[in-house]
Amino acid sequence: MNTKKITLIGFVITIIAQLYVPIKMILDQENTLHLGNAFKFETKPVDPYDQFRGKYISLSFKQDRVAFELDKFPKEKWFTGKEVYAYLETDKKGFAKISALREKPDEKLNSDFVKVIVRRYTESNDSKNTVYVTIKYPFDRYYMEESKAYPAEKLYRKMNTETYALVYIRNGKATLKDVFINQKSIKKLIKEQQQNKDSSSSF
Amino acid sequence: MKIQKALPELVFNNIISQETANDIENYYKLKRKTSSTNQLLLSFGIIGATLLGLGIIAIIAHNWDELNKWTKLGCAILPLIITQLCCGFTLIKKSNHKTLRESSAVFLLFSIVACLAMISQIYNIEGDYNEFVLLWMLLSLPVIYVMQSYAASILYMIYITPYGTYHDELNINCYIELLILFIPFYMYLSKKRKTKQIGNIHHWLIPISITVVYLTSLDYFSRTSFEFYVIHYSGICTIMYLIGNLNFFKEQKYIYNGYKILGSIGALITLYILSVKDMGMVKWWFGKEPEIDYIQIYFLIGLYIIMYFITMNNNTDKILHKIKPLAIVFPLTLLSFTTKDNSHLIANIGILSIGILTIVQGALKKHLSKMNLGIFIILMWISKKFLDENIDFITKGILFIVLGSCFFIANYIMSRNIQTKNV
Repeated sequence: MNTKKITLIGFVITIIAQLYVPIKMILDQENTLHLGNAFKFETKPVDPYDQFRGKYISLSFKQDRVAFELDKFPKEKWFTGKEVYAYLETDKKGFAKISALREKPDEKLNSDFVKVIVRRYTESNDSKNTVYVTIKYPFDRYYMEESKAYPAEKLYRKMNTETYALVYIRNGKATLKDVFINQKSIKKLIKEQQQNKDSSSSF
Repeated sequence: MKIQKALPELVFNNIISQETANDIENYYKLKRKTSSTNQLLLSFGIIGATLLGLGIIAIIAHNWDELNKWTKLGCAILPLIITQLCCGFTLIKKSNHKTLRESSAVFLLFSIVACLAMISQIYNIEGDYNEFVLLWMLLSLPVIYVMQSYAASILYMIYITPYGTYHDELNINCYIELLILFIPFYMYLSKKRKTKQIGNIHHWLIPISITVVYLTSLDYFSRTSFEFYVIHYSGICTIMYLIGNLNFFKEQKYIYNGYKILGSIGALITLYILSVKDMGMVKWWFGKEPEIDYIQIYFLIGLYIIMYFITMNNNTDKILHKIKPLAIVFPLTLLSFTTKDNSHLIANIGILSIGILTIVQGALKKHLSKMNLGIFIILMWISKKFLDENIDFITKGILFIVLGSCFFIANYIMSRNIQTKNV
């Protein structure tokens, strides 16, 4: 086989790999959005910046620290960076709540779960048999248009009310669809605010 | 000597006719013109593709709310497919067209990152900047090999270096793997393009990248004391210096030998640090109770020994010339920092020996630059001593005048010797 043929075969493999990755990303996300269940996660946004992907709201969640019994969660097993499975349920207000954490998917638990990462493991000062596991969700970024990310953060601070992320979950995978402030999409709120500003300045 | 300059002499001595001389001159003029035009086109092609790619990324980063999801996805995938088709066309039909090959490869690299960035935006996909760069680099690496693109390989090196400096064990391991995956192309590039500038940029990029990542990783693995930081620094610089002394680099211009230049500068900085009695605040900044990671030091020592023997065996010179004075800096640093009582004395003897050995080698080989390097080491050492000691200004002044005069006299004598030898 000559060099040109080898190069062409290599090129075809490269093309397939380069197309496979983005298409797989799209299909995974679409599957989760269409077939997954929706959960609301209470949040508190700020607006950092990514060189390639632009401005986003970095979300931190109220339900990111869970208390467990020390016997079931020995320190050696729950180190920082470990991938674990968080099983979810809905509380009285309708927000997502972690019901259990498992090292592997547990078929006995008949509820939705999401793959999360252990961020911190702390022992309780009050009770000797209680430990706290802080986790990182796989949906902590909400990308927004350049001009809207900063007003979104300001709006959140000013209103200081109920904020949550709408997340679709299926088979351990999650897709963040929208962020809401007072039951209204943050994108729509900012758009309305900017339109109001424009109309008042034109007078 | 350039052939054009020798032509009048050859015509004058009736070795070639005036007509042949004119033909030779015209041939070289035409060749130079074509080559410089090609180089210019190549540079413009690469710069154009890079700017275009960066521009597209900046536009994508705006995150257009007005467009719906499927339009955005189309905008993400289409440029990637178009650039892939361009690359395919170049490979099949215009494989010898350097400008097209380089610019389409660079553009493909940016199309990949633009595509990934847009999909991440649309679906709010998690993952920090480093994970994103890793995925981009992994998808870009085959492009370098398939398209044999030098410009794409430069971009690759530029992006994996900051990735490696991010303090995370996984990142450092991935950086090493990314670098190892790149080495075969680097070897190929070095063999194929010995005299071409663009291939030689890697002889600078790789040592800079390794030094930066290595030194920034030290603090991650263990709290490093000032002494051990200097040991690591001198180790990595001396190894670079030894790599720069391999036979392969002897055929290259000195300016393209980044290993040797960076290694020499690092070795000189280490010598300066060794000549200082007390580093005071600098030491305090590094902390007093380090957790020393001996494995890294042993690894450096092992690598140093291997490189030293390879360089020694490669060298056909006499024994005195086989010893590379700046290569002694690493063992000297190890010795002076691990000896408690006489460390300063050992450092001083070592610096003087390195200086004298460099001068002797330079004088014997009639290398003016090498001899000056030796004189510079001795002068640096003496100056540091006399600036540190409590001596009055007049004595200091006279001493520097004497040293400066010695420097000029030594250079004058050596230049005369070289001229006499040439005549």
